[in-house]
Amino acid sequence: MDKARRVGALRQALASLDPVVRTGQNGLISLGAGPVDTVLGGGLARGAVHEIFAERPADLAAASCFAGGVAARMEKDRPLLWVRSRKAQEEAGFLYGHGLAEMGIAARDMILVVVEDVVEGLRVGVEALRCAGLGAVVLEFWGHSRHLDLTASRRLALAVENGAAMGLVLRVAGEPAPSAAVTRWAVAPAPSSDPYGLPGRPTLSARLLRQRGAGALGHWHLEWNHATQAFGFPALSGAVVAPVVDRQNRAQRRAGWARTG
Amino acid sequence: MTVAKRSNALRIAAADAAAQRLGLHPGLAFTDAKLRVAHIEVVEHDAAADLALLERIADWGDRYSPIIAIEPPDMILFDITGVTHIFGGEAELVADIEARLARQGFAVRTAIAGTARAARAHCRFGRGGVVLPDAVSERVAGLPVEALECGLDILIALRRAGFLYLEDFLSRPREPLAARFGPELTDRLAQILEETDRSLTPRRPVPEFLAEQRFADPIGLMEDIALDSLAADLCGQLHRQGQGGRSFELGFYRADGKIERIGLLSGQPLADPGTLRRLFEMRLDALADPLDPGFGFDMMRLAVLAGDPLGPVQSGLDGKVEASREVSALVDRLSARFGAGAVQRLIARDTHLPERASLPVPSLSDARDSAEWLGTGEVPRRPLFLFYPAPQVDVVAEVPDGPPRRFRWRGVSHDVARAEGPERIAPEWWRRTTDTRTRDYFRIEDSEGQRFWLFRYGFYGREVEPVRWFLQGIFP
Repeated sequence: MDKARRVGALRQALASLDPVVRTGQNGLISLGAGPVDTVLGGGLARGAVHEIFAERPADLAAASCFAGGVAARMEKDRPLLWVRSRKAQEEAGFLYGHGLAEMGIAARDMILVVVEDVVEGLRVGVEALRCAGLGAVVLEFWGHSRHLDLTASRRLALAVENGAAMGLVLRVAGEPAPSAAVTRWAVAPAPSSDPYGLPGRPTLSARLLRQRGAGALGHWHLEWNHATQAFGFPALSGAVVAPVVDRQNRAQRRAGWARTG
Repeated sequence: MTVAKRSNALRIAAADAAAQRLGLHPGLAFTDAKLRVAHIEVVEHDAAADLALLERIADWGDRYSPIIAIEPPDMILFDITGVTHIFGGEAELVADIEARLARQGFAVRTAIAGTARAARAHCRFGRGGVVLPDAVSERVAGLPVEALECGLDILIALRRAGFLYLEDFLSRPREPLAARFGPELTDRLAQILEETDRSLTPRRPVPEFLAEQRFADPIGLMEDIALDSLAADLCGQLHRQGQGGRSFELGFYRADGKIERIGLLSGQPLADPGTLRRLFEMRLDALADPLDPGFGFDMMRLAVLAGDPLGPVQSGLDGKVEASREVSALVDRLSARFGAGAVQRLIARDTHLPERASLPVPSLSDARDSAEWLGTGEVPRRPLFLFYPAPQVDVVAEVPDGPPRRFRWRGVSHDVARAEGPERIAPEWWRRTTDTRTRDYFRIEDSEGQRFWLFRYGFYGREVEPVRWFLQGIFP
């Protein structure tokens, strides 16, 4: 009993030393989808590291869209820095400027760092997260690596702690390991809900797997809206409902009827 | 002595002084040479190795002047305008070059004259040495007509006309000469007479600013000590001119003649000695092969190859300026550590072909956008990840010109649930390319919700080559 209490006290003392618990003071970046932001307590914290898992290589685009969406919602004069390995470029394709620009990311200012391996990627990450002028820093890592451990993630968290940047660690086909990340997500693509049966807006299934300091988790289907640059919820997919525009018209008409009454 | 095959016979290509004394001159057939002298040491002529050696000697000669040109097979030209005082005069400079090269085992002939062509003529066909300005016509008079190096047909024509030495031209009007032998002859004559000059084409970019330090005794790896004073010296020069360097080069001159050059690019004009030193230290630490001092370095040179006016420093007033300064400093640091090629940015280019429309370039390069980036729309028209080259996929299409029904990529079969297209992109016929077929692009969503960008290459039924399908990119 006494032992348990002492362990508990030690845990608390450790937690107070842990850099990531003191986050949130630098501001939050909301996703734009109300219920999700509520669960997050306002949004994703700056000055902290968040992990986004793409379970399969095929999920990379969806996970990148999630990271890119968060980056696009930060200030436009703070560029995005993206770290990828040369191998990832060959495997999964090159980041495409026009695609990024359509999402609302300033492709002109984006900095892309192509590294050889995980260790180099982590080095660039630490250096970049310390920089006071950057917005989001995306670190894309493929597969499992023994270098991606708690120590490495602590180092990243410490580097970003006092800055306004946000670290987004994008893990593709990797195993979750203990980390100092504030939130952990699993993102995969989801069927879009275009009313005309065409491929629609980027739609993803985002699962909040872990949140430091708060127990609330969740699983949402999110849709990235290019025009408003915000995440939202897709209209119900499956059975095709009347086009949105039409519905709005009908609602307006109904309102009009009510007035003329 | 070296031999090479010229006009179907082995002939002597080069011979040293001992061989020449025996009458074995370049151009002589090897069989004749063997008849004259029984025991001769012969190696095959290797022009590439000669050129490489000449390049290395020219590299070494960098210590004398920044403007150097090589004239294969065996000549190096230095532009020594304004540098002779460092060595104590023209004669001392030449003596230094001759002594150092002789120590390395080379036979050297030198000449100093007012123009490159004159120096060349005096060195190759005259007595060499320093040609003083008031002795030009006297010295030129003694040169043979070969010194004009005009080509064999003109040379023969000159000989036939009785011209053997350049003094035969000196008193004659030039126009008839030009009319008879071509303007090239009179041009060269004017250059040899130091009346006109053509500037050298330097082998390497000429530095805008440079600081150098020579060591009486060769030093080992103590670059940081010397680097401090070099950086301070160079940045002092930059400051006085209100300039900042964008492209730097640090040269290590080894005592045995080898030279190591280390380049450094900077995103913003740089004139701060501390930053410059730190960037170079990072660059040196990141070298794949550490610097080999050999027997030590006897000179170090820090040069600015390209610079920009230094903007007035304004700190603390505008946070945004400060932030962007931080970002460019980060880009400089990352480029120094991981190589300028590793830190990239994207530029938009004016082309229809998707794989050419967004091009990654080094962040520090000067490349500019030639087109606008796409704006945000209702749904994405272009993918987030683009394959180049695009992998081929097996497609089942319902109708020949319609969207695919099902396709197979990397061993996985995808059932198409939604499709939009085609967006037709015609080949850019004005470019020289083998890529001459029309592409029809389709945006595809499979039953699991993954979105792809596929294109059909060519038309069904119209062309000889079979139609193929490719996966160009992936939408989020």
